[in-house]
Amino acid sequence: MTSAWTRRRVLAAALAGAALLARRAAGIEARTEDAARPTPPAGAPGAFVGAPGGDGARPRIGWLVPAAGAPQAAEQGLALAHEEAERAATLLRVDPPELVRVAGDPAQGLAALARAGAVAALAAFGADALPPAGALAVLAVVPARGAPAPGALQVASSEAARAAALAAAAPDAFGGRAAARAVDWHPALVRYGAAQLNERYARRFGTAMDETAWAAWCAHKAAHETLLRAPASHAGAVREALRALAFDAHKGVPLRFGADGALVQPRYAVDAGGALLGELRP
Amino acid sequence: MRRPLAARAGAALAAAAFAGVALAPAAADTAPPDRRCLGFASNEDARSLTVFDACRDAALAEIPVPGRPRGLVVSRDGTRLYVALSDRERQQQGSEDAVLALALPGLAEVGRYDAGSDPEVVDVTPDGTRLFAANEDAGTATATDVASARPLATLVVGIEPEGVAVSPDGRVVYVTAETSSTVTAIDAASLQVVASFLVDPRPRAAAFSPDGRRAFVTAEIGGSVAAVDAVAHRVIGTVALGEDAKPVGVVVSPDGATVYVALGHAGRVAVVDAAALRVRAQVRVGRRPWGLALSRDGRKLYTANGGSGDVSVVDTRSLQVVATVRAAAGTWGVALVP
Repeated sequence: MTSAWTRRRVLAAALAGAALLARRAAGIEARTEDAARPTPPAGAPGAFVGAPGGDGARPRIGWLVPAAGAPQAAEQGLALAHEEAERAATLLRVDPPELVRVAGDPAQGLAALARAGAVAALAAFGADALPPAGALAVLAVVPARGAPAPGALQVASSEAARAAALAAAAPDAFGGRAAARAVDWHPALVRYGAAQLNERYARRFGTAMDETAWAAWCAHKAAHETLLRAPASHAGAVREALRALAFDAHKGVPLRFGADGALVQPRYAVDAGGALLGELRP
Repeated sequence: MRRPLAARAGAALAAAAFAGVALAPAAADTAPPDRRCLGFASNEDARSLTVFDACRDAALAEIPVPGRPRGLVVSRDGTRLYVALSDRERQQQGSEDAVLALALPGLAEVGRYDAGSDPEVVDVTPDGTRLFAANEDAGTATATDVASARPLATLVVGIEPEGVAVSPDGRVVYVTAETSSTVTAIDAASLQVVASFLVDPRPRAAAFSPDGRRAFVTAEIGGSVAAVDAVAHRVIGTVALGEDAKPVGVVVSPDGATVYVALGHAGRVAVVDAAALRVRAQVRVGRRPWGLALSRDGRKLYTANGGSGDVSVVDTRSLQVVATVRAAAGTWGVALVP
């Protein structure tokens, strides 16, 4: 008997293989091994910051940030995930991922990341600020306020999804305490290894892990886990594998991206002061 | 710390088991048990051990311990019980973080080992000379010399390590890691990492087949158990255990034919054919079964039920619960004298 997980993995691998063959047949295979150092997108101030001297063998994950920079929490969540991915890769004796940072206009930035051979991109933008998805999987780690771009993967819950989660909670769900907002993460979470993640983050950065930090951490974990489980050098294949992925991010259930690209995930109700009230199951 | 626990533990067991004195909340049994009939359950929330008679499946005593007990194992020769204790502060090393060694049958404290921060699971080599513990917070596994209590090595393993299992021949140690979904194989003699491999999300526990050629690793979020070639250290198959399954503890029958997997919040134990890699049956037990143990003849399976604070005893032929041993809050692990 094979598990649903295994079947999904096989499916992802098959999709990855099929996509790769199709690309090769069409002569448009991206060649990460020959990828030139990424160049700054035109007109993006301070555009390219990281990943100098890439040797081309390491899988590249893009980090797309606004010209003014990403929220510090997002940078820190990403850094923690990247360090953990490097450690896992070292243990598994595979090439650790390389983080390629691009700042500026999202469309130009994504084009630059594609040229640089990135196989997935994490974006410090809401999914409503991204261009329609191309072959490159883009995971948004900032909540969307408007309609998300077609094909974007949303780790951070949109404002609409938060409102819907709160509205679905029973009136007496939190012992009479009024829920003011739904969040994707909270530093007071304990179960399912949440306490351990919160502690790793707090120890590393001296501050509590908020939902922005968690979203960046989660997006990187999803991207890297996809690369580990369904190795592929082609962005399109990675995108399909990412869509088929079920992974753990300390919420007690397997997390997956829904058909609309939004991460199907538990959320948490907080009161007006930000105190944790309880869980909101999807 | 040694003397008070030794005094309490020894006095408690002596009182309950050998003099017929009841210790609340466990029910007393008046007849002294044979050492080979002793069983133990750890109660994380109650911060205690329940001692029970595994021949008659009756509670004997509840003994307080200085910390949160979780993993526990009896040495192969049946003379020592090792208990992983964690501090009240879950992510900081404190005075209560330790592995205790208790002599059997009296439960006098005979050793206290520094096993790093927040030791959760512990196992001991078949010759009884080395202890291995996972340090969840530090992301390491610690090897300790039993005789000298000297730490031998601290090894970097996966992120958020949890399960530890020593192979029956004592050559290899598997350490699971929840966040990285990895299992790391350690050479128990050279204390070197020899391999790591991926399994389904959030691996919890590992158990070897009696011949040491196979291992089985549970994945709580993956809802599965992986069968592993324990020579090549690679996954050879995965068994799905149900949509609501949260697989945690795992044991393999003495004949190697059957794998039992505790399904956590699903409230069941899965019975898996080890060769065919398919689920043969599922048995409903107490609430939130976590740790598992088998009698030496494989006829009885014990499940530590955290939600109901007890131990279910399952007849492995009829696959029926035949007894329930009362324990205490947060029952986590269970171990029998081999």
